[in-house]
Amino acid sequence: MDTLKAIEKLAQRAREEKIPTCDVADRISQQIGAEEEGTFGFIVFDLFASLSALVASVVGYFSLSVLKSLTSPLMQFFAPLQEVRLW
Amino acid sequence: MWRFSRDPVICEELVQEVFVEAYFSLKSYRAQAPFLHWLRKIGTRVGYRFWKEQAKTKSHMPLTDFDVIETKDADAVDSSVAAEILHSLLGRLPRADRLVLTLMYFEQCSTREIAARMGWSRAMVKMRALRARKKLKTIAERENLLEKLGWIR
Repeated sequence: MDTLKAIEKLAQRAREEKIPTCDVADRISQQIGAEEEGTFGFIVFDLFASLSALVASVVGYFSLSVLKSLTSPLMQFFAPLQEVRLW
Repeated sequence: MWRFSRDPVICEELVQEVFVEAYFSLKSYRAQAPFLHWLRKIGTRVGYRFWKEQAKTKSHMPLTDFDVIETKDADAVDSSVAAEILHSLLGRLPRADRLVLTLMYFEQCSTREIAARMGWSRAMVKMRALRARKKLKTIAERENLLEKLGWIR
């Protein structure tokens, strides 16, 4: 007999196998619950991060003009020297 | 999922994974096909992914371990033993070939159905089935399967 036909016959017999059943309903609901909690936490974190970014950009906008007017305190030592003739 | 792993503990984990994945992908279900078909598609993909992870620790049960099959009477062979042998034989094939033949032999799936489940083209499935059968034949001959299956005439 051809090997492949033998395998076909084996498969035919194998299909008659009674497949065991299992009950994983509790485990599934537990995992879904845990993963949904994780997703909710992530959404809260996302919201907090977006809010922080928004506030930071507003503060940054108003502080930009102040930042522009800032000069180094050391500049005062060098500024008069610019007009001094060395020789 | 019993076709993907014959270990009851792993099988349970796979079933769990299928239902959890189905729950979180419910939005993608468009009700164009029966729900069972959609669930089967997820099951096949979860099983296929499991084989990928399992491939790292590849170990085959040698066919010599199946002493029960050396019998002359077909009815004397337990169907679960037959399934075990077939599972072990198919386990020697590359993952994609194994999937095609597993679905064909165990679930009597057509090439069209396999293609739909995996998102492959039908021509690809046909080609893979052809090559997989050749490989399986070589493996079975190397393992002297015909001698062991004395009950098949």
